[in-house]
This record gives sequence, C-alpha cells and structure tokens, in this order.
Amino acid sequence: MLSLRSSQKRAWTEERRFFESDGRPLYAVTYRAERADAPVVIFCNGFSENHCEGRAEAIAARILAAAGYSAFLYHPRAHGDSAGDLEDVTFEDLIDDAVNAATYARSRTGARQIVWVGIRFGALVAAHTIGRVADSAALALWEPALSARDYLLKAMRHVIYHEIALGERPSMTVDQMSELLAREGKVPLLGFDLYRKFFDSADADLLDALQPWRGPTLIAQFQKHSRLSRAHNKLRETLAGRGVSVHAVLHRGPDGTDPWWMPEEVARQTGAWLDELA
Amino acid sequence: MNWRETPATLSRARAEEPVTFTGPIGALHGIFTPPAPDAAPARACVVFPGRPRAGLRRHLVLAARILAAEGFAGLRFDLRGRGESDGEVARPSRTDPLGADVVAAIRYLREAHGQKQFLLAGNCFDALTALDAFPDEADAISGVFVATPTVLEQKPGGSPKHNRRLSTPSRLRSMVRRTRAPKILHSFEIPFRALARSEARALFLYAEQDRLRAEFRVAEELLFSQLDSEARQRLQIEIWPGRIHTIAGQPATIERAISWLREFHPARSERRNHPEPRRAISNEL
Repeated sequence: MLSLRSSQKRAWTEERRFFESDGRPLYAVTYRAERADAPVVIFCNGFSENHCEGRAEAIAARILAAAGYSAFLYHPRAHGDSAGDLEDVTFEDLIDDAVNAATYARSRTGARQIVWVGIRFGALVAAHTIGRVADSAALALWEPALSARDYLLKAMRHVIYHEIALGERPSMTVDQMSELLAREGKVPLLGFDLYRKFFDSADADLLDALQPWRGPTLIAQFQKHSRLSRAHNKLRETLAGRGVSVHAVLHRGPDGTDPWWMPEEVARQTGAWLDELA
Repeated sequence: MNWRETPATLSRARAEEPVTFTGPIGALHGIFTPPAPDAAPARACVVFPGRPRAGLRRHLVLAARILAAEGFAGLRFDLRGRGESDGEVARPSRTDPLGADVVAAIRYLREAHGQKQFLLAGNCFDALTALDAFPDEADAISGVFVATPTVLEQKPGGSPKHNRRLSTPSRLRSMVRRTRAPKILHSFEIPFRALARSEARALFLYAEQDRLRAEFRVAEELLFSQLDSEARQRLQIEIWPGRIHTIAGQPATIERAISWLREFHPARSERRNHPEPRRAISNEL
C-alpha cells in the first residue's frame, strides 16, 4: 500500500507492509522522505495501556517526514496488528524485533544512520537495541520508562486508580497482583495482560543500558509539570555527567487534554533537534 | 475463550493486507483479513470500526483472525481522528456517530475486495457508529452486534461533574430539563428504524448495572415495543447481570460478538436446518 503525501514543506510516501521478525509478520509503516543522507527515525514502543500513543507516533512520523526525515513505525510481536502471542514474549524478543525493524527500515528508505525514538517502555527497548545496531546516531526518549519493573508495577497501580475512579473498591493490591502473577502466571492490567514470563525477563534499567551510549540524546517529558520531574532530571544529569549532549523538552499539550493526543509540538521540536544535529 | 495464537490464526495474520480507503474527510487506514482458503466460505465480511482498530488488548485483531480462520473476511479500521486515520481527534459524541466511515468501508470492500454482504460489530460509541451505517447500506448488512451504545440525548440524571460547576439558577433549570420525558437520540432512532425495516439481524447487549442500561430501557419502551413480530424476532436483546461497559467487561463482550457472528456462517445454518440424527445417549458415554 503506497500513497503519496505532500505538505507545505516536502513530499513523502507512506508504505504499509508486514516484515518478518523471528518468523512472524510484524506490521510497519514507512514514511519515506526525499532528503538525501538524512537518517531514518524509528519509533520504538510497546507494553502501552495508552491507546493514543500509536496515533501520536503516526502524527509525529508525518511531521518528521514533512521535514525531510524518513520515519518508520512498527508494532512489535504480540502488539497491534503484528502476529505473536503475549504469553510467549520476553524482553529480549522486543529487542530482536527492534533490530529486525532497523534492518527493514534501512532497506525501505536507503538511510544508513538511525535515530531512535523510544516511547515510554519502548525507551528501554531502544536503549538496549542501539548497541546492537551500527550507525545508531541519536536517541530521543519520549516520557521514558526508567526501569521495566517500576513501569510494570505502575501499570498494576493504574488498575487500582481505575477501579477507584469507577467508584469501586480496588479488587487487589499491587502485592496481591504480584502474587497472582507469580501463582497463575498472568495478571490482567488495563491495556494488556502481563505474563510472568515477560515480567521475569524484563529487569531492564535505562541508565544501565545507556552506560556505553555517548550519542546526542533528547528527553521529552509528556506531563503537565512546568519543569522536568525529579526522575527525568536525574536521567539528564547522569547522561550529561557521562559526556552525553542532552536536550530536554517539556511537552504539556493544550490545557485540559492529555499531552499524548497533541504530539505536534514535540514532533516539531524533535525535528528541530535533528536539524541542529545535522 | 482461548485467545492464544494458533497455526490457523497465524496463517490469517500472514495473509492480512494493510488497506487505505477514502472516508468523508480523508484517508482511513485498516487491515483486511482474507478468509482461510481451506475453510467453508462464510460469504460475509465482518467490519470492526475501532478507536484504534486493534481494540483493547488486541481483541479486534484476534477476533478478525479467529473468524477469518472459519471462513469470514474481516476489516478492522481506525475511525477518523484515531490511530493512523486522517482527521482531528474528538471526544466520542452521542449525537455524532461516524456511520459515514463505516459506509465508506463497506463501499471500499465491495469495490476493491468483491465483498457483498457485511456483518458489523461495535462496542459503546463504535456500536452507535456501526448502527449509523444502516440508513445508507441496510441492504448490504446481514447483521449488527451492538454492545452498550448510548440511546438518549442526555444522560439520565445529567453529569454530576458538570452540575457541580453550575450556578443555582442553572442547576434548577437543569433539574427541570431532567424531569422532562427522556428523548431518544436521532443518531440512535433513525438508524434503528432503518435496521427494523431491513432484513438484518441484530443483537443488542447491555448489562443490568451499567448506567446505559437505564437509557436502553427507554428504547425498549418506545422503539422495540413498536416492532412487528417479524422484526422483533430479528432484533435480539440480551441483558447480562453485572457490568460490561468497563475495561474488565470487554473480553466477555467480544467473545459474545464472535459467538453471535459465527451463527451467520452458512455451514452452521445448514447444520441447524438439517441436524444430525441424535445418537443414543449410551453411545455418547
């Protein structure tokens, strides 16, 4: 499926296809821009309970393509339109999918360099992938998860908040959900079922994974706060202390809206950051 | 229900085609799942309008593949303003369902994929949207699965959150308005009447403890009561205990959608019309 898009800036094409990763078809969209020698921007996402993130990726990819950067988004195995069963997935599998996505994205765009955009849990995956993919040139972290365990435990807490918002007594504490996961091998969360196999495999820490990373890095915070959260500030300071060039962006979105619904501004800022790196 | 990927559903995943078609305000994106070539053809295409198209916990993806493995074609697509589709994102509005998007999907499937008969399924706003396709495409729709759509112009009792912000006179006016007879949405009534005039079957699914159940009671009193016996037989109602209009209620809802849609398979109807002779109970033990 190929369609031609044009904007006030540059033309680009959109191509929707499945590619193979570990013997499974994974869904991908390639936004192919015409800027010579530009890197391809790969969006890396996963384990989200937030259904507006996929749309945010698509909007951002179009904005970047209009700015001349080819962009690529994909659904990891057992996510979205891809094949696979969540019950079988491990954290390492998500890294394999990202590596295969990079190979495929290069083949479709002709780009050599890659800029990774890691979104929430996808930041952990991107951080673990950059060491395995040559010519990873830059890393943008959009509302990054700093620890896989903390992210998944937070997803358990969201079940409690959701039940309280419905006026119900929470059905389980986080400890009880953890016990259920250990005992039954599965616990239903808001947007996905969490399986013990994945939980046990996902002991990732963002700063640990980025120990060898020295490339330019952008941290985009999708929150209503007027300054970086303590956790994001620690991330920035630690990376800067290692000699990494870090650029931070606060994306608050219009009042009264979830910032993920309106990603245009952060996408433009990401594009401007790439322009500065070029 | 077993949602695990099987060789049959993996085979359908391999056969899927990303599709793009033109909606009322721009491109709409979806995935077409062809029926399994080795399954008895169901001669119908199931359309799932989505926000986004994968549905919660990917249930629409899995449902499309399960049904395709049994001979149904399927299309799941992002409604305008959602997922990859064009358009501004907007809060779902009980007065503005997006039936025109479903009509565009049906026409695309007819022209590009040779599909002739359609089954629609939706939950909440997507159900209202599926129903909203009837005024334009009733003849092509064999059935619609409708789970917990809104029915009335206003929520019964109004919105407490909204009312807190009102001044005292406004609150009084609001109370007076609420004492008026509840009014059924045009966006529910017009498609409902088109559905009643058609030959399509429907299943309306609600649960006792959902707030929307109270709205649906008004539809039962004012619309279903007017149906003749033929239409009343075609338009089924199921009221479950508890709640289904919740995140936790969605798996059961989509499971029911799958089991109900399966009834449209010609092989199943043939089995119903020509049941196998009953074996003696002793043979079954």
